Amino acid sequence: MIEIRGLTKRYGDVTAVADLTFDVRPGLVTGFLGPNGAGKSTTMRMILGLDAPTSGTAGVYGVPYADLPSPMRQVGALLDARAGYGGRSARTHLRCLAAANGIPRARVDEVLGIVGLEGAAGRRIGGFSLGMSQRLGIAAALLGDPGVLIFDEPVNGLDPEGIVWIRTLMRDLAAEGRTVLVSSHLMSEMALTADHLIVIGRGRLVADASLDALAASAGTTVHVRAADQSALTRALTAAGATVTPGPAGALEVSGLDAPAIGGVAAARGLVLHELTPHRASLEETFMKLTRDTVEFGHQEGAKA
Amino acid sequence: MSTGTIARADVGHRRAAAVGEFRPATFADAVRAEWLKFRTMRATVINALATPVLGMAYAVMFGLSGARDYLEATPADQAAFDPGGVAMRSLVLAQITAALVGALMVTVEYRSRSMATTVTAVPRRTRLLAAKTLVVTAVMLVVGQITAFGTFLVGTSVLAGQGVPSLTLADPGAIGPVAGAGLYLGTLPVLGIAVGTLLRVSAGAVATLGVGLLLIPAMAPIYPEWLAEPVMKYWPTLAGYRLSAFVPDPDLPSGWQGYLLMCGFLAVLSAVTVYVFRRRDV
Repeated sequence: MIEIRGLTKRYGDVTAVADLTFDVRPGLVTGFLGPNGAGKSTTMRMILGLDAPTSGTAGVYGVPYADLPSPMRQVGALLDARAGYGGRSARTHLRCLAAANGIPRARVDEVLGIVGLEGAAGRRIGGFSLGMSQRLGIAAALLGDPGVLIFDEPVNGLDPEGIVWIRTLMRDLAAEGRTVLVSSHLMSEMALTADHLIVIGRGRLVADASLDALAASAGTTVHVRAADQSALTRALTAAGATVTPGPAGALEVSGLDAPAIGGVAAARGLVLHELTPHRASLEETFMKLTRDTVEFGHQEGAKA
Repeated sequence: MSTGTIARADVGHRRAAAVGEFRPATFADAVRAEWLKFRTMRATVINALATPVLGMAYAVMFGLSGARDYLEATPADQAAFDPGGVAMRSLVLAQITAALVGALMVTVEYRSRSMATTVTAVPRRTRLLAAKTLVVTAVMLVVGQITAFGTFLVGTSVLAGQGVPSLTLADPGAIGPVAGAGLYLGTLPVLGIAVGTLLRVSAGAVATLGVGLLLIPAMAPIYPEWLAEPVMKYWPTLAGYRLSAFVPDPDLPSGWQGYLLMCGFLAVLSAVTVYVFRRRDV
């Protein structure tokens, strides 16, 4: 339903989105994951025709967004929850949007009910909390009952109950056969919501896989602690393993499994204090995938 | 606040019923949306209302000061007294708010960060600008006539009340300039939309409209000859403003020529605006 082909956006020398190609399919919640500044919002804005790509295309239902005959009945989007003229009531705000696509007024009260804002329908949206603004933004996205939904960081500002609510809503929308694209910078959130993940870092595609496949691909490492860590490091490196500093002074070893590491240590007469196989969590996989691409991250072990 | 189960029950089952039959969104839909937005924005409504209020309130001031000038003037100057022009002089102020209504129609959307939402709802940007222009121009053509006739009535009544020569709508040739002034005011929001769209901020639009509508024309007498003459003759809004002249200056293009010149300028400016708005990232 959404087809991204070679999508690129440059601002002067800065490349915000670099040659992205992926599809978002119906019937699934597709998580669009990346660190802050990775280009998620820019990509979504290009899908919605707000920003023009430097090159490449973003199609919805096979056409550019601006060519959709009835955009709100085909695509619903929540980009910026705080957007909206603060002096209007929630109901008037939605009526303005509904009118733009000839959506009947009755639908306005209906979507206010769906998002749980029926009690605040007459209140000025300028006084809304962030959580209420998020719900209003979701109501706007649902106005046209569209088959494609795009949500940019929808759980921002929601309380725990609200987060559970939107998770359920997204899963229900996908179960009805709709295409749901949700961005987040939190893998933990996506792990609970998404069926499929598109991971980007610094505007580049890092992974495009189902949640299960991504979890399975997460490598296994072994945490090792030894009496003479530097001797063990030399021995393991010589045996072909990759050794990096792990948590709490342990060594994190990949490339050799625990029995092999034990064998290497025994052959050199090195005393081991710990030898723990460790399966990487999705969170760690995400960190690893995007580590080289984080824009403003803490670079562990970076030397000045 | 509702829970997930409510969402499950409500989404999806009513596709045809509540959302209406699937039909392409039209220009008329965009116009209806912009009309609803216009009515529910404080800044646009206040400036639309301020236009006749400003015109009529200052018609009192200009009427009183014009009457004083007349009484102190030489007989030759008294013979050249232009009561209609004096009565309508406050329109130099009303024109600012009239143009500003158009600018606010756009800049308020940028300030409230809702332009992205608006463009998502109406992604055909030429259609969007056309809908805004149609709504604000239709409203201001009516407001402009109310302002022009109200200002004329107030201004001429003040003059008559001071016992100096005045005019009434029944006088020959009075209705034309008054209706012309209303038409001029009703056309100005097109300028406002262009300025608001190009600059995107209200403050910049106010400053630009103030300079373009007031400062540059008002300062024309102090410009050197080579600059003063083209400004007096061809500055677009000054040319259009002459549609409201009761005593046309034979050295200048006529009111209708001036108004057409202004419309030509606005057509070019609007084309530039559409070009920029279509290409620019929201």
